[in-house]
Amino acid sequence: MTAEQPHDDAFFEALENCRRRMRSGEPLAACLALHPRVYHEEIAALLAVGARVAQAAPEPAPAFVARFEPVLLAAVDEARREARAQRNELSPVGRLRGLAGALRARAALRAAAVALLAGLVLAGSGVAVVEASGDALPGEPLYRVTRWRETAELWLARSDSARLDTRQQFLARRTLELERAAARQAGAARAAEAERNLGREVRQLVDRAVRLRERGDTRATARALTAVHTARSRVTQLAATAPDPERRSSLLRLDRFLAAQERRLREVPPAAPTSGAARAGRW
Amino acid sequence: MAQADRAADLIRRARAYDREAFAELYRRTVVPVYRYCAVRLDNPSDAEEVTQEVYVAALAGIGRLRAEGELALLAWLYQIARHKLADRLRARYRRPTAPLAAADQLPANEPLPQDIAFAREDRAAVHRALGELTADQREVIVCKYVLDYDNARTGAIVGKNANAVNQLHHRALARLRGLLEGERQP
Repeated sequence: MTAEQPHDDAFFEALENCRRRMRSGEPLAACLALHPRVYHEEIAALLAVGARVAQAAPEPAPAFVARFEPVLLAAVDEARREARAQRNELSPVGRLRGLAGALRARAALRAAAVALLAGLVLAGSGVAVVEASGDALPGEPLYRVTRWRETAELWLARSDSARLDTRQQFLARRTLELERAAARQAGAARAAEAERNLGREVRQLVDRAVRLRERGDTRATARALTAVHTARSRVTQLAATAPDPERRSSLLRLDRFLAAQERRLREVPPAAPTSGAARAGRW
Repeated sequence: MAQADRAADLIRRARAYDREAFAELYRRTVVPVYRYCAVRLDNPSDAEEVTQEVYVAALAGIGRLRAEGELALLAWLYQIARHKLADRLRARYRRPTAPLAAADQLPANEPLPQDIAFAREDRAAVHRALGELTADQREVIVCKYVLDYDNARTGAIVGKNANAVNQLHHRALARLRGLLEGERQP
């Protein structure tokens, strides 16, 4: 039987049967013996091709599987925190409860946070202002409230590691702002500002992660890498769908900057001093 | 707990960003997902990068996942992988790399045995030939020879009945055979 001749269901069944048996370790001859002789030559030739395909797909290196798992799980933790934060942001009560918890955790900075909150209340209509600021884009008046709130969040972070977490959350917000700017067609100036903010946020996150890594926090760069990688995936997607060539070119420039920062995180040695060259390519 | 219930429970917990559930989901699926990617890419580091991108995208989209069973979960991950591979292969087409790029992965001071070089060339030939198949043919070949799925599982992944899978299986192998034999002609 040749490839040009029509094949019937019995041939297909024989081919599949021999494939299954060979994959479970049986010799091909034993399987072929179960089927008409006219099929033998073609089935043997086709299964040899299948075996070449199987060999072309190696198993992953165990080191890779083990190395990526904590990175992925750090991203899961970040996503869980982000989801909780979004749920809290939805309700003013939840927001106040979150703020109260943070204040309890960082008594020394309570006064600063309370002062900041009081400032917000005096500046506008209190919680409503904070609530509304969540949707604000760069260049809009309420956007300053978002940044004040973030300053407070950084103050309230209990450790360097917690500050890295906070920076990761800020990066997720910057990414969301960039997406919102694109979705709302907010204008070139606001979109460019959102891009610059994202670039700065990434640089600050990476700088902090590199410092922590140099001080012996071996997971810091992996955590930052996940956050930068997630942001970059979204930037790449935005660039691919940007209708305006100028916007696309600008997003691709941002994408390259994020790729450089990813490389920087991958290449940082455990205890190397921060080099000036490593900071090259500022956004 | 039955296997189907266990898979459904795992997916439900992963949707809520449960760390343990996601870890188990990753450990159960990373080998097939990696191999699914590796069979289309010459370079192991490319396959690792695409695998990472698949899980990052899966984490971002898990809230929208409606799958309840393990096979539906795998089908979803392969669908993400297909998109990521298409992006990667498009980018490579725009920015071609030197052939046998995987040679860069070997330590410089190690000899390059003939059989390693041959195996690498053979893999590259298979990758090229797979690229010439239709999407359905390629999917069936990957399901059967990379993931070792039977007709029922393959049919569930490609959305075809067993009859159609059998025909695609045979046509794809015959086409691959022709392509690979053509490569060996001087």
